[in-house]
Amino acid sequence: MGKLRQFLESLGDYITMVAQVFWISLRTPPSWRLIREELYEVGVLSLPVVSITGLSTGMVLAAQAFFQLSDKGLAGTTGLMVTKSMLVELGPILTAFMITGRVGAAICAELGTMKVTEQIDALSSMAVHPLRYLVAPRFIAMAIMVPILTVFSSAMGVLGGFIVAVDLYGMAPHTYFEPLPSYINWFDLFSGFVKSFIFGLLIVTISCYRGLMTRGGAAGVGRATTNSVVICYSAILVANFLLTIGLNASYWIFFKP
Amino acid sequence: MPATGSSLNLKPKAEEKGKDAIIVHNLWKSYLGQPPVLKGLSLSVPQGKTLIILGKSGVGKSVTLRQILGLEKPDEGHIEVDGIRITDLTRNKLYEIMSQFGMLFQSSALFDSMTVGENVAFYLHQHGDPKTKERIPESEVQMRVERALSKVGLSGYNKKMPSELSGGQKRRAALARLIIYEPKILLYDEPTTGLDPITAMQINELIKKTQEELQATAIVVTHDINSALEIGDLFALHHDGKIEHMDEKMEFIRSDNPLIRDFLSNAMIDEKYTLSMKGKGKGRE
Repeated sequence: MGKLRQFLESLGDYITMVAQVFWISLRTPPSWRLIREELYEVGVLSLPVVSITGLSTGMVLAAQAFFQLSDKGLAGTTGLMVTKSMLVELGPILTAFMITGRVGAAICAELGTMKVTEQIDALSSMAVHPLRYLVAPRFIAMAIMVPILTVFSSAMGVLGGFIVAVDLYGMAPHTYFEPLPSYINWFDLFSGFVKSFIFGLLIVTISCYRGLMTRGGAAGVGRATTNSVVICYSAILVANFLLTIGLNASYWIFFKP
Repeated sequence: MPATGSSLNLKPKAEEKGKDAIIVHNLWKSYLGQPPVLKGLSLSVPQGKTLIILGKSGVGKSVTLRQILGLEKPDEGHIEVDGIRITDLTRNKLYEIMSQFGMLFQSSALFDSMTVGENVAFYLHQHGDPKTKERIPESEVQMRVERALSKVGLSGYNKKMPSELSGGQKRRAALARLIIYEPKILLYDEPTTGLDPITAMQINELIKKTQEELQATAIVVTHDINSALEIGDLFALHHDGKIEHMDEKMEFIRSDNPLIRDFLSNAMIDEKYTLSMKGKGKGRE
């Protein structure tokens, strides 16, 4: 019972924090300088890791697709398979995982350290709202940058698939791209965008919440960081399933030709 | 009785000298699954005076400060600052009040991603001029930063990072961060803990000088009795979640209260104060 009560209280605190951050970001947004720093930190500095993830995933997908499908005469669908997988599923989820490791963990560790060394109390004591100064800029930056990074990662995946299919397996370049206009539609782009946007918000709010709730010195910061990464991964996987079901249902309402 | 809608300006008026600037009434606080830390704590501090809260470690002295600063809400009871019941205020109203508070934290709490100069300038960058709330040109900010740092003996340290400072220097830099916005209520959490006696004495001198310059009302939480005797006007013993006894300095150290006698007898009290205690047979002389 005690554990359940603790969980429900934490969930309540988390939802309250998210609502406050939404409210602050809309009503009294933080200064542009703070947002710009976070956009650079989240977006520009994540480009290398997101590129490698997208490129290597696309290459593996193409290699597997070509190898598995060529003896069935379906090798021509390699480009379509890679693009569809990257846009709808692998791009959003793998980018979210990489951002959790690179950005989410850093956010949690930084806020956790600030918490245990009383720096967050010092902010409050100087009449500066920690949610406005520390959380809102990260929240806005992640909401903008995770979808952009996902598009970039997916594009790198398509490029990686192209390199493998064309340069390694000798596929004609036009064959790789030929089926795309017919089978890739706005719904695929919308689906990937919605997923990446939600994943970005989950990562930043969970990491900030766990950071702000850190207790117990350096060991507490370590525990909070590990904990936030595990919760982020779990939340992304569960949310991915629910979003897939919801988005598929929305297809028949909004996108059916 | 104070009204939450009254003015949020805490500047002391001449006729208010001697009035209680801080009133804490029947404060109760407990944390999930633990016995109460504060059990009906009450105290008051007159305008411009310095109250020392003494007590053993872990009795809830710092919790009391956190309640007064508004960092935590009490379970019961209320706190009035300059006639405004801050425990009833919304978060936004509380932040208006908090801009006139200053707290020196036990860990100094300097922002470790900023230089010393940026730490000291932080309030001015966030709120502008403490009096007019208008933006200040950067050259003026830097001038004020240099002035605040020179007051605490850290001239030329503004480009250093907090990690490059010693414990005493960190405490001084944190004090400069307070001085720059001239708060009217100052709270000190163990300001000399962990410092060598000479550095502790220097910090005490700085606290005394700050009090004189700002004419601020202050609460100092400490278990360092000699530092307390140097800087305090009023003394209170925090025991078992309550204020056991509160009095003027000399009356406090001469008190017959057994808990005070017990606390003082275990402290290495400076000779100039032990003379006042002679006849009581107290203090490790």
